[in-house]
Amino acid sequence: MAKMNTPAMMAFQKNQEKRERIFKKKNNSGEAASVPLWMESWRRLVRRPTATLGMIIFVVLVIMALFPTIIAPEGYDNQQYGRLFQPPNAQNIMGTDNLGRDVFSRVLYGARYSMGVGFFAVIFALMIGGTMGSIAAFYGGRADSLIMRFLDIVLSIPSILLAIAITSILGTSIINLTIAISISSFPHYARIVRAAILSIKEQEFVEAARAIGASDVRIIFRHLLPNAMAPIIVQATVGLGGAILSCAALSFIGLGIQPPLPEWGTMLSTGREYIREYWWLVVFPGMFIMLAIFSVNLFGDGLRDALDPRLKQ
Amino acid sequence: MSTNENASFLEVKNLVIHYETDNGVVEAVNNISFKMNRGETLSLVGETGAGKTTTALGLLNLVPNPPGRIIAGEILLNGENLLKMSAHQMQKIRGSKITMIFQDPMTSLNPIETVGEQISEVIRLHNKVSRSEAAQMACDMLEKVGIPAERYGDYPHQFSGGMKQRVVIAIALACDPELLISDEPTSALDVTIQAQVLDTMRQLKKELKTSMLMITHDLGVVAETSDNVAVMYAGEIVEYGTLRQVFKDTRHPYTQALFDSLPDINKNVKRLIPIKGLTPDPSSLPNYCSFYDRCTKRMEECKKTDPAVVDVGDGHLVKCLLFASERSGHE
Repeated sequence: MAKMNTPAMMAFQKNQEKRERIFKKKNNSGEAASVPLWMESWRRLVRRPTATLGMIIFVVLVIMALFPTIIAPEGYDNQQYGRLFQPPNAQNIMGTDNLGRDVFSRVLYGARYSMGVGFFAVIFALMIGGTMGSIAAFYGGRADSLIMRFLDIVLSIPSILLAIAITSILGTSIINLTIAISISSFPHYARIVRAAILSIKEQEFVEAARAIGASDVRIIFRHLLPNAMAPIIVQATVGLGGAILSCAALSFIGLGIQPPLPEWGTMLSTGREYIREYWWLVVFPGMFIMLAIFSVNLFGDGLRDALDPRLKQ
Repeated sequence: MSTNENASFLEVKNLVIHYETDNGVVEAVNNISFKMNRGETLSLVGETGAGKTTTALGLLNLVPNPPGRIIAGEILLNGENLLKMSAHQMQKIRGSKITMIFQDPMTSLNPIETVGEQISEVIRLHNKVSRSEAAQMACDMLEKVGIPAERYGDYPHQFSGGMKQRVVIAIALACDPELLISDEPTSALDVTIQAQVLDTMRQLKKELKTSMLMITHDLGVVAETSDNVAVMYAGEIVEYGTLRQVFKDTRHPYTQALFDSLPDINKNVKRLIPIKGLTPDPSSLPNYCSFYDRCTKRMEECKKTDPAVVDVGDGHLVKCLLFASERSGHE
């Protein structure tokens, strides 16, 4: 093919150079597209007010969970019998409880247990469920039916009952509580992951990955799972709320974290007896449970939109 | 096996691929044989459902299983039978020796990885290089297919269709494969972009001395790119020869009919001549010539036997009874 002998071609070439210059300039000012994925995602996340709100509350709660020793005015088990059932005041902003402990400090320490158990329960559940779901979807056939029937069996047991059963077998400890919550919730993750991967694995880029010699493991972890991230993140955040709630519920009925450890559910449970006269014993821990769940749901929703490069404007 | 330079490096012998579904066995590829020499381009031409893509997937041993199954045949790459290889050995061959470009560039790139990462992925899969070296090589590849290396960090959705197909080509050629299978690489692109992409492919092919198996239903693309042509119909190669033999000395009634159904710029015609009927249902192929029902030159005998492949001269193979007599003269 003869090239660049017509005036039109030459003009095109000139324009091409101009375009390239513009492109390069754009690149240098940092406006061009080669920004890392996480930066882009971050920008998209903070652009959404609800997501930002959720994120701020969530981050505050995480800081509470990580550093209660620094933030809290008192220890969680600092009993002072001179100040039983004090209503919220300047000294104890959330009042004191039946043993004269500062409710605010206990709520702060409680974040560590509630959020920690919830977080790790979701991670475990995601690891077990994610692996099973990916295997089921990717290999199909017998593996798929075996895994899915097994999950059906687990799902047929009400999850809170299953968790109760597991904690009663294993005994009450923080680790057992985490295990119980993750076992009772992993089928949901497996199903979500399976559904997401089933639709993605039919796409041509998966076949293309095979055609360049990628192994099954590589295809699952580099091509399938990252593309299935959006539904997984949503399920994980909703699940985090659920796990925090399960943790509180199990502690409330006495199978979770034991007093004097200040888990939010445990606090609700002990405060229940005094609810008529001393509302602050249950309102503040309850409010924090609500805040935690509310914030992870908002944050998760925003995160899903932000992590998907295709939604970029 | 002779080891001389011109010996065909890829040889497909009597390949049979079936899809075994609940509604019966679909005979997608029936007894296909062909040879390819180093550096040459072979086009597989045929209608939708003729088994072109299945043949290509068969070469990579990627026929979806179940329901697909390679029933019989040999695929010899440099004398080694690919069908006898372990899954692991095959993985090493895919991408480094044989690689494939898929039809739709819109979906054949991973949407959440940058194009650069996707090119370096294949480089790192088959070569022992560091991340940064692979990135450097990926940039070179991008430049080679005519995309500025600055776009290494861009995502597929930031590219146009033609550029995406260039990226796909860059991925395919990154490890300097011996055989590039292109499954209708340009049918999802518009005509101007098609020309550009084909041009890029031809240039790179020459530069890297890659052989190419071009799968297409576009006879124009065939004429532009190929050395040899194989016309497929109902899972069989009905005519095979050099570009010149097939285009200028068309023998098989089906190939003739294909040309007749194309508009000719030199002739003033009101209507094109379509091929009557449809391709036979591949799950119940007749035991006589599969083109019989649509053939304009059919004879009584055609319904009695499945015609043998006849060499009508200089390796020009035709699977039709019309030329059966020539064969006896030939031998």
